[in-house]
Amino acid sequence: MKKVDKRYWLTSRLMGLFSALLMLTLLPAGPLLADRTGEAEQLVTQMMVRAKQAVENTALDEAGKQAEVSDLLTSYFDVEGIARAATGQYWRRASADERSQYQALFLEALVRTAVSQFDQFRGLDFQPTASSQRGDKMVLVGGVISDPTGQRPQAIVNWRLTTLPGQPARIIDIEIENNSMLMTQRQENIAIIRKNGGEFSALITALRAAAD
Amino acid sequence: MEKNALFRFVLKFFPLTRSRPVAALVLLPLFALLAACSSAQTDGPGKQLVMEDRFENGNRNIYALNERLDSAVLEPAAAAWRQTLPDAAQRAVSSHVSWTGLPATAMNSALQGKGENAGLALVHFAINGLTLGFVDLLEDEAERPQKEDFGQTMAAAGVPSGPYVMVPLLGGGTGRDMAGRVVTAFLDPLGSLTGVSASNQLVQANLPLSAISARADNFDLINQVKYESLDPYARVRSLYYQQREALLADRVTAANQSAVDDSLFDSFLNSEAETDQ
Repeated sequence: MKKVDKRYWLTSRLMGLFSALLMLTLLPAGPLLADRTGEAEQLVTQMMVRAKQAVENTALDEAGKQAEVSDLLTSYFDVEGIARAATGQYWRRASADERSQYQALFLEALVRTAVSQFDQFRGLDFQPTASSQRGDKMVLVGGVISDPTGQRPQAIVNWRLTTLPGQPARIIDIEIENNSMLMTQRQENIAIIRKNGGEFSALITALRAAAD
Repeated sequence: MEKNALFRFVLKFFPLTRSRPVAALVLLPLFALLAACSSAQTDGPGKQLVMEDRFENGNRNIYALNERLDSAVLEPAAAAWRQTLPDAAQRAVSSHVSWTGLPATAMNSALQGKGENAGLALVHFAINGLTLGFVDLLEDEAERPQKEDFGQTMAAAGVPSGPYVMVPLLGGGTGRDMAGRVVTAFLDPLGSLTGVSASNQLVQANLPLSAISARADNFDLINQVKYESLDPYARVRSLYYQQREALLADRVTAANQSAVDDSLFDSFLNSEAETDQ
């Protein structure tokens, strides 16, 4: 009788262990990774609320707009990473001095472009629709930018964020109606460098000329 | 295979002699040759569209010409259009221009086996036809037909994209898409569907209208590219390829679907991999 109990005890334990292992293999991989889609969505929504407050503030002068845009970019975006990725393989060829000059000019250009379009964003609403994890270090936040008056067609926007371990989420790309801002800027920058015999300094010259 | 057969059948039996035969006879073989010259690895059904600009120097010259033409004609006309026409009238014209393209979408959807989209295009064409497309009576419908042109049909049939070519007045596109534009104008799907022999005159009359309307609809965006880009030609080319790839992948209205491959972002995830493309 005792032998039967022992066997039963062993069998039930093995069954339990087997079931636990089976459960582990059947579980989707997602929950085992740190799901940071919520954090990413919250960051984008927070940024859009701040951006909306800024564009609706008609009392802002040019310098005020620049300060707001600059603050938004440095607070929510990985500007250094974007600048680096926007030069493709040519980043490796740039000297330390060229890199720092380029990064400063790149941020200036981003601010200038955003300020020039500041008024176009007035009256628009952002609504996140769906978010998804891309690998274990990126999140894509999908949403819609719409005009409540119906004057302008709504646009589908995807925000790509990095969610690196131990670091806050940061925006690295915006895709509007299937056009990636990073991809477009990268192809434009690379075209300038290639047109000038692969000289990274040509991009700095072009950025400086645009700023003047 | 079945799609290829259908594609050849339509090319053979569609009424090809309807309009503008000389221009088509010259342009079509030229663009088709360009597409055929493309290396087999560029793309095909289900493959990524690869940017190929072997005529870049010549293309840049034609782009500069197009930009001068835009500054001289289209931009001032579009600016006047925006200033003089009320928003509702601008939307009506824009809607009418889109409506005239629905038969082409229906035909190309059918050729690609996208029956649902073909049906949607026909329904929208028939119902909005009550107002000649000037009023979108189905504006609130969630399901809208996705644009399908002959370039997309050729891509679905496995025709390679060919190099990027910039054409005076028409703008830029791959050899395949330029051939597609010629074929669409040549086949005249609007006339075939309505049975109106004068439909080509309608389309021709619409051409300047649609050019001004499209320029006005995208006035700020085009000016931003034209005046604020570091390299407007490279930017236009990049935007074209991204848009085209989305169209070929039927990704036009899909939210939460990325337009770019995740590998583009490797440099953000790994400081050692600074970018490799």
